[in-house]
Amino acid sequence: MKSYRCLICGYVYEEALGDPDSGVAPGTRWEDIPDDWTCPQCGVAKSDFEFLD
Amino acid sequence: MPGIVIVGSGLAGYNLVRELRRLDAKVPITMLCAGSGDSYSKPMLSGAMSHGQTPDDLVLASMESQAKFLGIKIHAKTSVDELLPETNQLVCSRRLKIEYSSLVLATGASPLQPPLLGSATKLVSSVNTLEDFRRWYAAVSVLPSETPVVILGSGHIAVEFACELVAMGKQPHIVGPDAWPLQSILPDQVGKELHTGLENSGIEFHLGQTALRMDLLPSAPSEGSGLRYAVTLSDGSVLQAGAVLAAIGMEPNVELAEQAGIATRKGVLVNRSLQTSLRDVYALGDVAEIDGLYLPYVTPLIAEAKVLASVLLGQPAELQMNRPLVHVKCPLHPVVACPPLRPVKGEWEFEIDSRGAAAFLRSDSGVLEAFALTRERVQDRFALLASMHPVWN
Repeated sequence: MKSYRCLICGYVYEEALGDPDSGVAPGTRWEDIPDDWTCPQCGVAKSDFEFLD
Repeated sequence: MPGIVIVGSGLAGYNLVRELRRLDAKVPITMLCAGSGDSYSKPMLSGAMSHGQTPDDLVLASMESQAKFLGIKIHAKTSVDELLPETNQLVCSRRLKIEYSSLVLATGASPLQPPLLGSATKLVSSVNTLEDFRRWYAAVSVLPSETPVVILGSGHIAVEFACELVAMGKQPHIVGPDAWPLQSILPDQVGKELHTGLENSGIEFHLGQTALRMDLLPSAPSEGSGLRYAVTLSDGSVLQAGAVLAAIGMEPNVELAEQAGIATRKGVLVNRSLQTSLRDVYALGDVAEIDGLYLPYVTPLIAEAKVLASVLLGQPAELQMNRPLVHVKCPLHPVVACPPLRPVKGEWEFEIDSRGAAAFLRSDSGVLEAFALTRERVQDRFALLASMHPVWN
């Protein structure tokens, strides 16, 4: 499973963990997260994330 | 048509440009900035070293590529000397005069300088810009393992840099007059729990103290020790250190606004449409106080940029948002706070157990107005946030 890092605040989205507080279940792949999802830590959009590993 | 002029190339300036361009591909936009204009994220300056990032790694896009990609004119390495509101003009360095239809102040805030005596006071570091970070990175990278580093201040930035120094094998010493770390956003029992946790994780604290002097050591105590400075505290004790970081607070860069007669207090005063007391002048980000609230964080900034872009393009809009959460990058002892926005009539209630510390502030009518959480309890933050009113009712 992959990880993606927010370029603005450093928050790391891990596919294995998801973001349940925003309705993104554990295991959700990055591509499947809705486009209007925002970084839970700072509020920026998916486009401000980079693939980490 | 002179167009929109933005002073500042930080997160506020560039996010405003992005939001403007989402709505209008053609409106002329000019950006003026004192630095290089390379875009980077200030929150990333703390923690970058411990993740193995260099200063160059933190550049998101060069000034040139931003200008091209966003379709804007950028005058970098340009200081704005005077604002002439009667003629809608800015007088800048290098004899540049810029006219605006709308002016946006996105000048951010600068670190307060500690009042120190001594022979080394000019060698105090602060890390506010990418250029500052380059110098800090160079200074800290060469310090031998376990070299003491003194941090002046015990707030958000001080704690973040202290955690990073522990991760890098140096010995941070936090010096400050407060009784516990993050005192401005944590009530006493949570602050003290954090203090103990951070001490156990390797940060040394000298609280209830200020630094009075910073002097150069006459010579390194031993070959390759990395020690360069002696910092004298108010109780007379002296800390030797390889570097000294000032993190005692920030003040908004309001000089340009003040000079032009724009209303300021801590920051430039704006209403919920981000407009200052001058009709064609706006402000957002760390320089602005919005409807009396000073919220120097990323989440409010993103919301401000969206509203201001709409307003600048002729679509009235007003800022509304959820309460900002203060996330402190403190892997040694996780902590998150939602401090009170306005004075609250109520008492803090505490729960402290093996999951961590929690504090809740409810108003007399039972509404949750503020909270603070540590360790595992930080997981509860979103559920708590959802139960709170937005910033404006």
